[in-house]
Amino acid sequence: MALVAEFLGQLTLDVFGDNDPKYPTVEAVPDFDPEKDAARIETAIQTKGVDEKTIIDILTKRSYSQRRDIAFSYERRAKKDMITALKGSLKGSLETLILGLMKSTAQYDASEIKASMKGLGTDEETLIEMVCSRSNKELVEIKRVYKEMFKKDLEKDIAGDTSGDFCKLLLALVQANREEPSNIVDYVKIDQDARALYEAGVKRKGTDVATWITIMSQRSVPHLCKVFDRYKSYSPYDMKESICKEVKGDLEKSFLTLVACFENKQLYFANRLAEAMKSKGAKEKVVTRIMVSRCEVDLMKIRTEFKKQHSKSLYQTITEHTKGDYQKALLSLCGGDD
Amino acid sequence: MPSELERAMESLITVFHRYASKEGDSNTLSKRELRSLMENELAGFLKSQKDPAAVDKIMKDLDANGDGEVNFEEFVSLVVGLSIACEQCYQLHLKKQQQQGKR
Repeated sequence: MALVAEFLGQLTLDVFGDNDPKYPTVEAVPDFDPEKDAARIETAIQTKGVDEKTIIDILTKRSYSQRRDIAFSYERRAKKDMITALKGSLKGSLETLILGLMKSTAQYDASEIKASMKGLGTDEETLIEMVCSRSNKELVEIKRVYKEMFKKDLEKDIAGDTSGDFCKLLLALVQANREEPSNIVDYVKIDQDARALYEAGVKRKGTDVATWITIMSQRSVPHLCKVFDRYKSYSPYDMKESICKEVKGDLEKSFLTLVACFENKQLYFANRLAEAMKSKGAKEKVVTRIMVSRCEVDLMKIRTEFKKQHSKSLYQTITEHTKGDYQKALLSLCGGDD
Repeated sequence: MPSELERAMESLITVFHRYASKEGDSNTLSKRELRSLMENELAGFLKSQKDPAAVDKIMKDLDANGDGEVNFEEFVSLVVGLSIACEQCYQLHLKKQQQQGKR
């Protein structure tokens, strides 16, 4: 079958290896004893002045499902809800971090998104970070949990809180219609998409944002990476430069975030962490969110990217820009120095 | 008289050993031997990767026990992965033929 030779010429290496390998810094501990952990936490909470160290030592070194087991054991023995007890005994950024650890990934993401839209005005930066960096699977789960927790549709809330093309882009992403990566590389489509992006943006006066939104929200990530490559043969500016030239404000930030996440999601988070910690009054909310939401996903890889990009380890940077028990908790989640 | 499938399996084994026996352990492929095998037996596939580090990546993927050598079992997983992908192409090809036949 000469056909096989022909087919082999069409395949790419994406066939091999997981698309999203995991590099967590926090994993389930092998000899896990929820009763013992729950007892130690109960003691820590009741200790005069609250023994934060023990709480941090236990909760930052267990997987999410183990934390839930501890909460269950705690409630059985103390006849109280562990989360309520923690809320009452911890404060500030440490409290936010520990309570974040007690939520599932989807619950945490859903709460962060809700918080970004609450009240007067919207925290667009957070909304952009959340919606543009989560995968199809994650977004579907977030939507489901959001509905459960807040009895509202995520799409409706986004539509109510944002407007214009920015709103359209977020809604398109939240639809979670992105194609799954395929074994077959469609060179014709790559070329068509690259040309379409060029003609909708740099080539013409103004920008046909709708085309950009469609392509960037529906095509698979490996496909888009090849499209951006091919794009360079049509446009004098690469995709990132074109985005800066064609759109502004929240729309620009969103597209740039999307492209950064397609190319190297862990580098995106590493840069976000660096930015947040360098800013005056280290944007602790951002740091907490990234550390908590990625510690069981790919924080180890984020550390590597961080060191490569910023010449300093994440561990060291946290030490320099945060303090107290909050710092201890972050360092524990970080897992080690590089 | 071996069946077509039996001959295919024999080819897998003989091709593997032809390259594995070039140096060192004759039952495993070193990276050099793997490169030689892919350049000769899977040239089309290798070229379409357009990635000079393709063989290194594949070697890393295949060497499941990390001993720097690819044994037959590890090698066969490459062939299986490629066969599955080719079969998907084949299905599309058949569909296209059917549609063309209808016109």
